[in-house]
Amino acid sequence: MATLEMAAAQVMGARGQIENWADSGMAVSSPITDTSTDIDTDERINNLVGGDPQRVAAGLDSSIMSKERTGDQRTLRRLAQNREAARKSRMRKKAYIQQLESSRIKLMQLEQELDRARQQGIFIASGVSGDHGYSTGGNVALAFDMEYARWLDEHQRHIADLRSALNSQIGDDDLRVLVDAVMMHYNEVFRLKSMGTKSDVFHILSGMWTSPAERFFMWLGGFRSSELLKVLVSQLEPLTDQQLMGICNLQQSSQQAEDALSQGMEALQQSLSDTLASSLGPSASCDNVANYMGHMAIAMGKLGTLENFLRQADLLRQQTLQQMHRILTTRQAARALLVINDYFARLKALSSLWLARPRDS
Amino acid sequence: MDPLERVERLASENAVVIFSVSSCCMCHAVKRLFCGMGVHPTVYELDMEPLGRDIERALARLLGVVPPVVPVVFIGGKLIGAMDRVMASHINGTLVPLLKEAGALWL
Repeated sequence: MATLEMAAAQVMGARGQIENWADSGMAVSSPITDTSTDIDTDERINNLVGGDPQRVAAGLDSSIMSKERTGDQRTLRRLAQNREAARKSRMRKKAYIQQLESSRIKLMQLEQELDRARQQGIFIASGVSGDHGYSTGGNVALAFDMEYARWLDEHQRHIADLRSALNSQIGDDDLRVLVDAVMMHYNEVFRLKSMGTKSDVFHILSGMWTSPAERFFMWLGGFRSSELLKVLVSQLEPLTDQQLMGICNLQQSSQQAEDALSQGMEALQQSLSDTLASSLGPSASCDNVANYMGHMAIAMGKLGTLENFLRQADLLRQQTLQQMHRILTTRQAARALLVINDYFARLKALSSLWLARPRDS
Repeated sequence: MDPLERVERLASENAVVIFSVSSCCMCHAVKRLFCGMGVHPTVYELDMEPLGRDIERALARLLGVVPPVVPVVFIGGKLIGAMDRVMASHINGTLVPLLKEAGALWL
């Protein structure tokens, strides 16, 4: 019959369309392989064909109808299903294209903003255009601040566990597990700072990622180990003579290392200042421009060593903590970690109090 | 003389030997560290040494890094390393015994 052939062609066409949108996640019933029973698909037939359910159901009772007529019904049903599937597919395609269009417009707007900002001399990360080398100061700093805040939260949880363990009658072995956990977690913050230093050394140096009072005490991007040890000694008694000597030696050597790095930093500042000053001179001439660029290049090289200084300072902090851990017993180390945490907590609290203090109008 | 041999020879001639570059601030820091401990190191500024470049390359090979490699510290003829190794050994308490053994420190 002509109608059947046309219908078959339509089915094949629809199936072709559907297969192009394979990822639309639709189950397509194939006229050839469909094995679903007529009774199972009653509801679908009702929705698609829109016929009288009883009549349709009766019409699909294969024991009554002839094979040919059942075949027609089946084909009609499949045609309807395919039409519906194709319709849904077209709608999905339309939605997808609309999404692409709005993304394209958004992208154009962003690129325009980027160009405008570049013209104004703001350095912006540009993975889009492929050139490399500038980092978004703001975004990198924010990323570090968020990671650090998350580290602080986790640290507080570890400390809370340690505190309740110390207050209970927990054995040394179990306590050691908790102490080791805190020490391991400290390694995490040094790893974070290392990455932060590589991305934005000035942000780490600024201390803007920490509270104002902590910032006041900051040395080379972090706490001063020698000061921390002074605080600890008074809180850690009783110590054996050997331990006391160990802690005092540690305090002295960390102080010496800090002083050495400080002097290195002073030399760096002086050197940088000299370089920039020597690029000053009488008003611009051809010579002076080349001079300027040369001096800037030297200054850039010197600035690069700043990262190294911060790295050494963090290594110093990390190693001081580890040595302290070695000298003390498990219980003493637990107490030490609590004291350190409580000390910094007071600095943070002081910062909050200060910021919230009442002021004369 | 082979640069590496020259390095070993220079390193063994004094208790504490530092290979440095005059403009290097980290080298300045390591010198200050030893001075602060009462130690008087022998310093070779490679930018002022006739074979400085070769020595620097030899040191880089010794440490398994690419230049710049300074500061590099030897104590009692033995290689200690760059700033991070010197500081680490000071913090973990192994530096002072080494200095005493080499005769660079008394008391």
